[in-house]
Amino acid sequence: MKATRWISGLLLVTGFVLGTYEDGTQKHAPMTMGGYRVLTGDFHIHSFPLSWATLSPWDTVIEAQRQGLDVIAMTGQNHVWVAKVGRWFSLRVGGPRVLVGEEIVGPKYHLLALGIAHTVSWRQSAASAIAEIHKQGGLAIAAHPLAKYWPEFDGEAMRGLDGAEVVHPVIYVRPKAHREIGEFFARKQMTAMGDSDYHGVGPLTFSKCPAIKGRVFSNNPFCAARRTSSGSP
Amino acid sequence: MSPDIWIMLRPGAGYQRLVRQGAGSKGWAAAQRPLFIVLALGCLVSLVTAGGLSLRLFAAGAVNALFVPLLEIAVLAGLWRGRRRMPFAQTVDLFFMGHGPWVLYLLIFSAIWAFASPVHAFALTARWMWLLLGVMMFWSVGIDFCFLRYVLGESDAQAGWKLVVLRVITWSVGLEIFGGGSLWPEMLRKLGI
Repeated sequence: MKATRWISGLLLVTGFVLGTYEDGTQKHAPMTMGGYRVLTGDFHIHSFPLSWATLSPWDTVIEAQRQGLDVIAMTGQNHVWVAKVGRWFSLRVGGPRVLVGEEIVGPKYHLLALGIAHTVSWRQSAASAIAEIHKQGGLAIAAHPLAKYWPEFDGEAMRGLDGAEVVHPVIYVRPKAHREIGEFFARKQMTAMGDSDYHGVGPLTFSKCPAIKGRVFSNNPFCAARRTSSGSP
Repeated sequence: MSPDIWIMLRPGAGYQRLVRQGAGSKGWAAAQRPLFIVLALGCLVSLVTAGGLSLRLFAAGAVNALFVPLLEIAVLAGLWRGRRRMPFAQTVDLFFMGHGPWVLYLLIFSAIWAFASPVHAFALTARWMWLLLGVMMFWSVGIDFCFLRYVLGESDAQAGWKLVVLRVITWSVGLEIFGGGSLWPEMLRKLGI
């Protein structure tokens, strides 16, 4: 029994030594394309607490930096204070650009609010939430728009929507979800987003989003933002 | 066989025997098993985030996971106050001996993320881990019932009632801390309201 404990302990320590060494050795060279600096972003990231995530906002920022992300949107579920902590921390350590965001999780829809200042209530229709996001100068993105959320995206909500997630981890797991997300995106011309919907599980760069630094994001059909606003890099 | 495995396999007989033997660490030594849960959760966070162990991610996960054993110990203290059949430290140690199913679950979850590609890990965990979580919950409910029955010496009815109290308090506070932002709207969605 004693020998087994020693061997287990030794394996654990070896794992920590190797893992910690590898953790500190990753370097990401800046990406350029056609003379433009390409930014890598992920606009749907959750942090501990309150959002079913394992990493605190400061650990999320460090992890995003380690994984080579230039810009992230921290989207707490129905709150923005964790994102504000993340942005504050990132500014101090020279981390990635952090957009304050929120995933508005209502009973009938999930909506990303990017580049906002205050929490947008989930106790309202999607159309009303989108109007409030725009009032704050933010962008409204439909989060993983599966068929069960479609009824809430009526004509008014669709007109206001700036984009929708097209690449999301769920599409790799459920072919039906892949189809539904594609069908939603085909409803109107809008920005396609690729996000990891990060909860501390798996790589942050699972469905990352390249973007051109400057006034417009890349025109990659799977990942581009239609316009820049106060929150855009 | 270690007492933790003995309790996983035969919780009733295991706890009865451990109580007869006066088993369970005393004093600060009783903190070992709760700390082992923190160690396991810290390793889980590191493994599922980076596919390996790093001190940075381990510390990040361990700090955030500290509330789990602390919350359990706080609720256990309330349940123990009425009985006091043995010192509290010993009671805590015996209670955490019953966490085998959760450690096994963490081990399986971590192994999937450490060894499978992210796409395969997502597919596997989305399909099977909820089912496995249900199995582990059912399993640990049985173990906790035996703990309350044989370690705290409750009657069947009292053990059942205290089990409900234990689970409702620890799980509702835990879920509120972990995912409280979307808990209510998600519950309304599930209820079709």
